[in-house]
Amino acid sequence: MEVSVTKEGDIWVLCPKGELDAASSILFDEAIEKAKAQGAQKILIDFEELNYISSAGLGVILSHLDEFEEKHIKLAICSMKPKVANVFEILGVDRLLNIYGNRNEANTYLNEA
Amino acid sequence: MRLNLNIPYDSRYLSDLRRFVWRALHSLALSEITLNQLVLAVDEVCSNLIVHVPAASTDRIWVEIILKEDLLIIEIVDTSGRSAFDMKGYTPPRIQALIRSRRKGGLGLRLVRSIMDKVDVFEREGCRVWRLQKALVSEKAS
Repeated sequence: MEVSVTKEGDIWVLCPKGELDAASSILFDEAIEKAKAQGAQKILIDFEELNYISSAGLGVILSHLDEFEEKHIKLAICSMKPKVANVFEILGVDRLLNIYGNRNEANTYLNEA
Repeated sequence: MRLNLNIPYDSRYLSDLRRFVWRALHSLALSEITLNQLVLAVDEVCSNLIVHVPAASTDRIWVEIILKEDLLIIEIVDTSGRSAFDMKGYTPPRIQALIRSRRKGGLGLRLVRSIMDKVDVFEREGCRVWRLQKALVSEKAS
């Protein structure tokens, strides 16, 4: 798996590509840590090129939520394939996250005052 | 149908394991989501074993996929010699508690139990066996 980290305006965009499992979740966590270390206040995780996610990947996202809330960091997730979205739905995690169908919708949420 | 594979206790081999499960089951006319769930269940059990075994272990995890008519049985054999996991005493963690603890793990077994109809853990010939069962209903692949 690869994770690209780019900045578009004031939004940090993370794009994991491939399969996010117990072995690769460390890379994903490092990408989130990198954005946080740079003072990110808006983070977008674009899953368009993600083909698989296990609980290790979900766990990485959940482990940051408490700090995001504490530091008022906005998080949006977009463009999940149905089989990836289903993993979030099985656990009910989808109800705790701001998930959007595409990047435009996610950007609209992140840019709301 | 009866197929098996063994892998070392090393997370780098999880992708090989997933490919094995996918190839074994992809001809069964399951939807992509169901197929992914079954791959995920096996991945989660094996990931859990790998996390709890020292990296230097030379033992291997054996995975056997058995299809008896519409009943899928997946046996995952932990040869590391650790004591049996008490599945009956396992309580899935609450999501909100996990978030507050900022822990990264703890969701895998909850996923497995949600996906499979039955999950048993028992001892056989000095090894710990995880038996996952699911009744398969043929679906039109989406």
